Formats: sequence, structure tokens, C-alpha cells
Amino acid sequence: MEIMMTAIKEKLRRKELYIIAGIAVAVLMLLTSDNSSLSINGKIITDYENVVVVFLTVTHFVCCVLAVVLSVGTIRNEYERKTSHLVWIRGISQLKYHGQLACANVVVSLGAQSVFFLILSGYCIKEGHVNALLYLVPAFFLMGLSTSIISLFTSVISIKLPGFVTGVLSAILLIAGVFHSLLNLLVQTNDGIGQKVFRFLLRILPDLNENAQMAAKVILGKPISFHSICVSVLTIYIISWGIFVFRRKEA
Amino acid sequence: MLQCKQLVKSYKNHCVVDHLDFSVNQGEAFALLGSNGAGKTTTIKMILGLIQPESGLIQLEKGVTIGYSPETPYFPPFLTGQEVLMYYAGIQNIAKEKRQSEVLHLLELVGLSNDSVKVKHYSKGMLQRLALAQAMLGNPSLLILDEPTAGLDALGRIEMMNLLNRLKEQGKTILMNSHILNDIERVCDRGIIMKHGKLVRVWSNEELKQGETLESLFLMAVGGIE
Repeated sequence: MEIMMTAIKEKLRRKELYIIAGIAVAVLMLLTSDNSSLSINGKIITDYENVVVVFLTVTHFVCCVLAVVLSVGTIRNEYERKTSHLVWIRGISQLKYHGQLACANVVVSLGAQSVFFLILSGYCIKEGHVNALLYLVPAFFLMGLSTSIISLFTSVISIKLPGFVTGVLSAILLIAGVFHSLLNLLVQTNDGIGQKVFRFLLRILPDLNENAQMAAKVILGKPISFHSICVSVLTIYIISWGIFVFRRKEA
Repeated sequence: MLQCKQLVKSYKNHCVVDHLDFSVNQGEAFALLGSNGAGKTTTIKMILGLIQPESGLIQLEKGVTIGYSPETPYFPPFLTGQEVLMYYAGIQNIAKEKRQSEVLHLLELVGLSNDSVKVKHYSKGMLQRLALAQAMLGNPSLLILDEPTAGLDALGRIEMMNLLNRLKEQGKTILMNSHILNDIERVCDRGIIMKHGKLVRVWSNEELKQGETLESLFLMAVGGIE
């Protein structure tokens, strides 16, 4: 646990985390303020239900981006700074080492997500929906599935790949996951080999936005589908195997 | 205690360690000497298991434990020296009840005792001493030190050499590499001189006692100033 705890402490000291989270929180607070001019089809959204849905959709995207930013350098930095030497020589297996660093990434990403849920809980209280606070916990974990997938994927591929490639691949997963339905629609309007490749990619990549929708449904007391939850848990399980499979030849 | 037989390591068809043979006996201080790119650090990394040799054999006596101090140590900057040692003691699985006393003893040994300063405020010399302290966690029988005086000022070097001599007197086996021949002469009993990955000369303190200087041996071995 020492490796994980130290990695978490180090991440919490990064200024970027607070700057990005601060900007994101400010944007989200603007969206939910009384003077908000957020509109869909020309209609200004001020009612509780719509604000919760929009809030969670935006939060979902921001948290996934934060997960990439927070996870992309953790394992790579250990090898660049050669701190890995002092860990390897102590007989710590790569599985344990990379596993703890990946867990630290997931914990910190979920920690960043919790900041947004605190804002949301404030909004729920302000709107008089105190009972919704109870549902924020399962909603947090539902949205945390997406954050965990992105963070874990970034961590796992960073074991073998350089930072830039890791960032690009994580961004592809993020965009394909968050804008899954939109991309599906776009793919259907095109023909050719490209369409087939994109359709295949979209089929194997999870629809992360469904997690945000399920989280909103939980808060609003609406029935949820367990399909996206199962797909996300399965995805986490499959990505986790990468920690067993990907290994460094040299420290 | 340690034997390296016919070690070979190449990077992209460039041989950095070429059929290297040497052995280190218990209780001695052994030096790896050579110019930049001679293969010293690569040899150390192979002994530590950080990289794999292409061929050859590294034999350690049964029960030998290794402590390692890297050339450019990096420690989490937000921790104090004591916290850094506690961290490494933790991942090394040193018993919880022993950790605190061992860490305090090592800090005192390297001259960093009662130190509440965070590592980010450490000087190069303090970092090197902390690196040596973490290498000594768990009382390893073999200490491998990669350029232990790199970047230190004159006083820092003297302190480090005195510390290594004290460890040697206590019976520790030391394998170190350094560019600074005076340092090696002050601490080491024996060593090898490497050039382009090959062993070009074995030297011992006996030769130095007969009037030779390490500098002249080194220059003869590597062929003077290239």
C-alpha cells in the first residue's frame, strides 16, 4: 500500500489538478446559476431535472479528461526518474508496482470527481431536493465507472507506450466513449471501409455516456438499465488484465 | 561474494559490456573504473537485475542482500528524509516495530538526524547521504554505489568518503563506481578498469603501496587522454 499512498499524496500536490478542477467547477457553477442562459432548442433550461442531466453530462466529460491528465504520467515518470530502480531492487513485482500506481490513479481521478458531486449536492439542497443526496452515492459510483475505465486504460497502456501515444489512445477512447451515440449516428450516414472500421471500433468500445445518463436517472429517481453497468464492469475487468500482461523488460 | 562471468550487453548492435569477468570478495571495497560510456553503470544495473545480460552469468553467494544507491537519486520532494526512509522500509517489508529505530539510526549514521526538512529543500550532498541511508535499510551485506560523490563539493566528498571508510571498517562489502580516482584510492582495495565495455586492467592496493598511483595505472590502461 505504501507505493499507492505515496503516489496519491504526490498527485494531490500537483497544481494542475486544482487549476483544472477550479476552472471546471466555475463553469459548472455558471451553468447552474440563476442567471444561466443554457438553452436546448432555444429554450432556457432552469428546471431541476434538466440541470441535473446537463450538469452530469458536462461533469462526466470533464472527469474523464481529468482522469487522462492525472494518469498519463504516473507510471512513465517512475521509470524516467528511475525511482523504479529502488522499487525493483527490493523485490517488488511489476504486477504489484504497476497495480498500486494504477490504483492510485483511479483513486485520485475519483477524488477529482467527488469535487463535482459536492457542487451537485449543494445544488440539490438549494433546490430543496434533500432526499436526492441519498442517491448521489450510487450515482457517484455509476459515473465513477467511466472515470475508472479511462484512468485504468491510460495507466495500463502507459506501462509500455510513450506519453504522447498513451495520451492519443486515451483521448480516442474518451471521445469514442463519451460521444458514442453521436459517433454511431455519424457512422451510419457514411459508406466504405472507413465506416466499417469505425463501426467495429464503436462496437468494441463502451458507451461511457450511458453511465452519466444512468447516474442522472438514479438522482432523479427514474428506473435504470443494468446493461451499461455490466458492460463497464466487464471493461474494467478486461483492462485490469493489462496490468498482468504488460511488463517492462528493463527498469 | 559476487562473481560476474563473461557478461555481455548490447544496445542496438553496440556492445556496451563485452565479455566482462570480475569477482568481489566479502568485506572488500571494489571499484569499477572507466571513462564515460565504459559500461560501468550498465554492469551495475545487470548485477541489480534492472536489465538482463545478453549472455554471461552473475553469481551471488547464498543469502547475500543488496543495497543500492543510484547516481542521481530522486525521492518524493514533499517527504522528509525520515519519511522517505520509512517509505522504503515499508516496501522492503522491514518489521513495523523495527522500522522507526532503524530509520533513526541510519539518519544519524549519514548525518541527517533530527531532520524535519523536506527533500525538496535538500542539497545535492544531503540527497546523496539520504540515498546511501536508503541503500543501507535492512542491513544488506553488499552495498552497490553508483557515483556516490557525483555533484558533491569538496567537503561533501570528504564526508562521504569518511562514511564509506567507516562502513568498510564495520565489514560491509562495497562495490562502487566513480570518475574521481582520489576517492577510489581512499576507499577501495581492488578494482577493474574498463574501456568500451571491456576489462582492460585489474588493480589492487598492493600495487599502489609499491609506488604506483591509480592515475598512472588508469592512464596506462585506457591509453592516455583520447
